[in-house]
Amino acid sequence: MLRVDKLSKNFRSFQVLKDIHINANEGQIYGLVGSNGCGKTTLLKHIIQVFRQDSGQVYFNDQVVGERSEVIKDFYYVQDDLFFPHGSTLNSLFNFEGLLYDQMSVEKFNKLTTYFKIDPNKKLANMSKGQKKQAAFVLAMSANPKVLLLDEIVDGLDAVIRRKFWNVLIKDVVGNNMTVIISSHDLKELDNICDKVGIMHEGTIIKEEEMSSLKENLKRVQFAVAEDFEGISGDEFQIVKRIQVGKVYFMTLRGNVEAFRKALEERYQVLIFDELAVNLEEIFIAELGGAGYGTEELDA
Amino acid sequence: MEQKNWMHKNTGKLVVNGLKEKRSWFLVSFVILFITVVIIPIITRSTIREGFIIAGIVEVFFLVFINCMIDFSYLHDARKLGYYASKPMTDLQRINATLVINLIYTAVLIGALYIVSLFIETNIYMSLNDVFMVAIPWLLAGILTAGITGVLTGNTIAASLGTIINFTLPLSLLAIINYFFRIVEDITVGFSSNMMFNLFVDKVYRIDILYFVKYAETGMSWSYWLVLAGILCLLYGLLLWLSKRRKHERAGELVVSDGYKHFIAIIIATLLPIAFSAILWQVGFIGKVVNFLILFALAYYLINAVLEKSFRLSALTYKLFGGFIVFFVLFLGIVNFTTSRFEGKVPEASEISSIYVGNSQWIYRQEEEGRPSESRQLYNATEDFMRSASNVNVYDDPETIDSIIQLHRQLIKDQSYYYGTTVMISYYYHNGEVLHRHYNLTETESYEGDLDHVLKEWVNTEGFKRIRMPFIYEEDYLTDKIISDLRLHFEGERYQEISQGLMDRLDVETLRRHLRRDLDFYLAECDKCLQFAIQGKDDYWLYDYDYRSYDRPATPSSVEKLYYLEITFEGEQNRKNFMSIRVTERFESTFQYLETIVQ
Repeated sequence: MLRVDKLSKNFRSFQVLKDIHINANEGQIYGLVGSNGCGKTTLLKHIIQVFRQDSGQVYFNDQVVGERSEVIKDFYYVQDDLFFPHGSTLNSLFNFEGLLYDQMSVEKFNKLTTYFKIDPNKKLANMSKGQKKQAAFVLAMSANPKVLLLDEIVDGLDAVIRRKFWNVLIKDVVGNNMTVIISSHDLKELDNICDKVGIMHEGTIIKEEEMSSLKENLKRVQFAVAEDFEGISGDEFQIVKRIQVGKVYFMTLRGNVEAFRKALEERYQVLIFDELAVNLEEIFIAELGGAGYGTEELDA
Repeated sequence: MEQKNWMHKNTGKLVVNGLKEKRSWFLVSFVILFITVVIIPIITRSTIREGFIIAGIVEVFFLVFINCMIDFSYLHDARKLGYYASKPMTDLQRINATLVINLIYTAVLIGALYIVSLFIETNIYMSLNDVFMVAIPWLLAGILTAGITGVLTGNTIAASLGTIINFTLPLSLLAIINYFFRIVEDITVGFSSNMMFNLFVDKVYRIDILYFVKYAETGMSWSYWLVLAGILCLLYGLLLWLSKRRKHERAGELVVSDGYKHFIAIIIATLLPIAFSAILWQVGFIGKVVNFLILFALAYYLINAVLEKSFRLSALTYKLFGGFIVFFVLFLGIVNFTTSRFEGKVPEASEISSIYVGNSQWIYRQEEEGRPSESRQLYNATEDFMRSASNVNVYDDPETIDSIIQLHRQLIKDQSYYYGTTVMISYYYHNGEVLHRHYNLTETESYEGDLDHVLKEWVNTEGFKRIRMPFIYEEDYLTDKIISDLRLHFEGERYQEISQGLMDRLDVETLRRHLRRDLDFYLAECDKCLQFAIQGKDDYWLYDYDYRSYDRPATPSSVEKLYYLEITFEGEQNRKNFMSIRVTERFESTFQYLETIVQ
C-alpha cells in the first residue's frame, strides 16, 4: 500500500502542501483530482522524491520512501511536461532506463511499441505531443513498476489512444497488482477507471474515498412540481447543488434520497421524479463547492 | 532499507552511455586541438612551441567548462530535473556519474595535449611540465567547482557566472582582506598595509599553494599531492553537503540557495567599491569609508534585485545589510581601539641593535663568494640580511640611533611634509625582536613642521654619513677597489659626453673631497632633505626640490647645467659596482672641479 502521511511543504513562505494524507492500495487506480494549482503535480513529485518534504512521510508497504530507499526503485513517474534527453530515440532511452530499472522488460517494450505503432528508432524530438505521451507511457509500462505515477497522461490524446492507454493500464494493474496514481483534469476519463479518488484543494486533500462509496453518498435527482418550488429541508438529506431548467429542477444531494422524495411529496404535488447517475465531475464540483471553490456568481 | 552507495551499481555502464552521448563533443574537441596545436604551427612554418600547447590548454579549459555547464544543466530546468530526479538514482550518484564523465573527457583531451608536448622542444624559460602541473589541478578543481555551482544555482547562465566567481573566490577574498588592511593602515599611524598583506599572504593565506603556482617554481613534491588531495576532498565534501540540501523545487531561479545568494551578494557588493577605491586614492579616510558604504549599499541592492528578480527585497536581505554595516563599524572601532596603543610605541635606544630607515620594502643582497644573490621583503629580512644588503642603510651607532628615535617621535606627531613620501623605520632589538613602522607623509603647502629640525640632527651624524654615503665619507672605501671606468656627461645647452682621458685627469680623492664639502654644506642646511636621507646607499640623485630655496621644478632637466658622473668600481672576485652622481651647480665645489677637468 502507498501511504502519504501528514506531508507538508512550503515554497518559501507559501504552504503548497498541508498535512496531506493518501492511502492507495495495491492493484488500485487512484485518481488525484483538484482545482488548478492545488498542488497535484507537487504532491506527485514529493511521492517520487524529486522534491523533499518539510515534514511527513511517504510509505510503501510500510517502508519509508526516500531518495535513497530501495523501494523507490519500484516507482516510475511520467510527468505532464515531458522531457527526453537530446537526440534520444525510444530505443536509446529504453537502453538507458534499462540501466536504472531492474524489471525493464524488452518483450513488453516490443509488444507495446507494436500496439501503439511507435517507431522505436525515430528521434523523440521529431514526434508529436501525442506520440511522445505514448512513448513515455510505453517506457513506464516496460519498467514494470509497482507504483506508477501519471501526471495528466491522457491530456491531448485522441479517444482511440486513450482507450488503448486504459486497456494496457487496467490489464497491468490487475495482472501485476500495480498501484497507479493518476492526476488529471479529465474527470470523465477517470470516472471510468479509478477505484479511489483523492480530491485536492489549496494544498490539502479535502476528500479521499473509494469511487463506489463516493457515488453512494452523493445522489443526483431531477424533478418537477406543480407549484412554485420554494425549497425544502430535512434531517436525513442535504442539498449540495440546485439547478433549474424551466420547470425541471436538478439537485445534487447528500444523504437519503427516499427521505428527500417523501419530504418533497409532503409539501408539493410532484409531477416527475427521477434519480440520476452521479459522475466524478458532479462529485468534484460538489466537493469543491463545499470548500468554497467555484461558487462565485458572475454578477456578484 | 537505504542505498548507501555513492555510485549506482551500473555506474560503469551509465558512464559509457554518457561518453557515447559525448561523441560529437570528443570529435569537435579533437578537431579544435588538432587545428590549433598541430596544423596552424605547420602552416605558419612555426615549430610547435609551448605557446600553442598553452593555447590548447586554454581551449581545454573552455571545452571542459562548456561541457560541465551542459551536463549539470539538468539541475536548472524543471522538465529535465523532473525526468532525471525521478529515476531510481540518488542525486549524489547522478552527480558522481556526471563528474566521472567529465573527468574522463578532460583526461583524454589533456592526455592528447601532453603527448603532443612530448614531441616539442621547450626553451629554458618555461617547462611544459610546470604548466601541466598547474593546469591539471585547476581543471580538477574547476570540474568540482562547476558541480558545486550547478547545485547552488537554478539557471545555467547563473551557474556559468557562479563557477567563475567561485573559482576565483580565494582571490576575491584576498582583495577584500587587502582592502581591510588598507583601512587598518589609514586608521593606525605607522602601520603598513603592504607589509601586513605580504606577511599575511606569505605566512597565513597561501594563495600560491592554493592555486598551485608555487609548484611551478619549486617543482613536484609530496606537498603538491597533499594539497591537491586536500582541495579536491574539501570541494567534494562541499558538493556532497550542498547536494543533500538542494531545493529542487527552486530550479529556474538564478540561485536556489539563499545562503549562497546572500554570501555572493555581499562578496560582489564589497568588491565593487574596492575596485572603485583605486580612483579614490586622493580622498581622505572618512571620504573613503563613506564612499565604500554608499557604493556597497547600491551594489548590494542591485545584486539582490537581480538575484531576486524583484525590486522589493526580502527582510532577511535588509537584515544582512544591517549586519554587514554593524560588522564594518565594529571592525573600524576594534581596529582603532586595539591598534592605538601601538601607534606611539618608540623603543629605548638601549634596546636597539640597529635601525633601518629608508623607503624601500624590497631588500636586495648581491652575490658573494659561496652565496647567491637574494632578495627579500622587509618583513622577512633578518638583521644579518639587512646588514649585508646592497640597497639599504642600517645604522647601529648610538648617536645615530638616538637621532633616528627623535625623528620617529616627530613622525608619530605629524605626518605632513613639504612633499609626499614614504618612510620605513625598522628597529632590530638586541633580543632578536623586530619593530617595523611605516609612514606616508602627505604633501602640505606652506609646511611649517619641525621634521627638518630633527632630520638635521640625524643627517649630520657621522654614522649617517658613513653608512649612507660610504663613497664619500668612508675613509677606506677605495682600499679594496679600483675604478675600472669613469664617464662624464654634460647637460647644458647641448649634451656632451666627456670620457676621453678622464681617468688620467680626474683624481677620485679630490672628487671625494669636493663632494664631501658640498654635501656637508647641504646636510648642514638640510632644507627638505628627507628624501635624500632615506634614499639607498650611495644614491646621490639630489632633486632640486630638496632645496628649500628652489621652487619645485617640473623635471630635473629644467636645471640649466649639470654633470652626470658615472663610476664603475671593481672589487674582490671582479665584482663590479656602478654609481652615478648628478652634480648640479648647487654642488658648487664639485661642479667647479669638474669644470676644470673638462677644460
